[in-house]
Amino acid sequence: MSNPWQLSSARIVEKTAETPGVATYVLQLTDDSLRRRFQFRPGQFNMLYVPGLGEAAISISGNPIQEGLIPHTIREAGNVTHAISSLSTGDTLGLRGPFGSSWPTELCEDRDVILVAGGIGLAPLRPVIFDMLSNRDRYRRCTVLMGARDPSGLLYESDYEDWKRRGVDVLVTSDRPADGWHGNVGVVTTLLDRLPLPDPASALLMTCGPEVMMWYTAQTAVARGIAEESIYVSLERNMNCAIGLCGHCQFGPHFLCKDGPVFRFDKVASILRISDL
Amino acid sequence: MIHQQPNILKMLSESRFTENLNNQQLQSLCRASRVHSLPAGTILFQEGELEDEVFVISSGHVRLSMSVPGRGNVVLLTSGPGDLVGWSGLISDGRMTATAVAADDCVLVALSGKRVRELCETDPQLGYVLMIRLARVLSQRILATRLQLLDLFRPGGDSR
Repeated sequence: MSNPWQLSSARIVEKTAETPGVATYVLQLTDDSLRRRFQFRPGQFNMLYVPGLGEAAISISGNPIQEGLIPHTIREAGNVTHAISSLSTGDTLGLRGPFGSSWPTELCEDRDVILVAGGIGLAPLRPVIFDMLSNRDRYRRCTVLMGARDPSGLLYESDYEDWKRRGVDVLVTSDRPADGWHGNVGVVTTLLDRLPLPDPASALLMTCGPEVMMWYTAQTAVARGIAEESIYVSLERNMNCAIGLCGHCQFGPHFLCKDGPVFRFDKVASILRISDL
Repeated sequence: MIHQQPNILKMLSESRFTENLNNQQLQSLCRASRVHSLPAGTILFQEGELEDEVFVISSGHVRLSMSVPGRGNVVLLTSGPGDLVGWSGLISDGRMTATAVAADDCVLVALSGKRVRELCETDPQLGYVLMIRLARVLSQRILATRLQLLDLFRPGGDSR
């Protein structure tokens, strides 16, 4: 990324409905040279631009080593994402990025790694899962704990069996019961409460979802013996410039777009529960 | 099905509710316990009934539900290995506040609430430890229920 303000044209090459109001758009930069050069790290985001409406910061949900294809899993939540939801395969939009900090996959070597996701929070973590699957030997036990409002909100559900078969354990829960649902009922922290942790001191946990969920996930993890320094969260605010100039996403001393979105928990714990920050 | 006492000892020592007790305390609890195997779909206890035993899940999952007129049994929580269910028997008359059904084949340690309460009276140190742990179980239940009530994933809720 040479000029962070430079928009590039990206074409939707695939669109997949995921959960109610959520779809994955696989983008491809239309410029051959840019397409070949584009690289991202797990947890980073792009600014997607819809002419006449503006930009939205969207995490990249794809495989970092898959050249040329840039998936984004998007929930309709505002004007820009609503407009994107009406686009189809072959349509184009603008893209800037990638931006921001990344999940610490370089620290996962020979450690138990736990991913805790809530709702669409699994999207920014999916690149880590791809890394686990590609480099399974580098990790010790890999566990994904996934929570959703109800079973229809379980993102990428059709992939879970494949992930399990390839050595990534997936435990899911639904906050509320639903007809025909025989799986776990309860919030995702209850899964972490009873997850066997033979060596919590060496475990590393990454979490993404509503802030309240992440906070209590971190509290549960600490109670289970995982160090605060080994817990990572992905935060979200209204990102605008994406390079820490405009101040829209200021969070205490941090700019989420530039210093985040991924933070080590102990770096933000003291300001995470300040109301309206 | 009758199980050997050492099994109970191992199961209790692996549960968060009874782990890290000294051997004498564990042996005392063992004498107040039995192993209970429960096939999937079997009712463990029913809401409103009096039940002396409290249960530590060793393996499998138990679904806790409440009966709501017009809605049937509404599942509130799934408990799993290491969890304590039927705690009313430890602190009150043992009237169950939920119905518990085995979600899959379960093995549980059933502790006599009356005998555990007696043990707590005669060994206040054990009683203190168990009551603190019970308080922790209940505190976690309250937190989980609050998080459910917050409905964090509702459309238009948290921005994520």
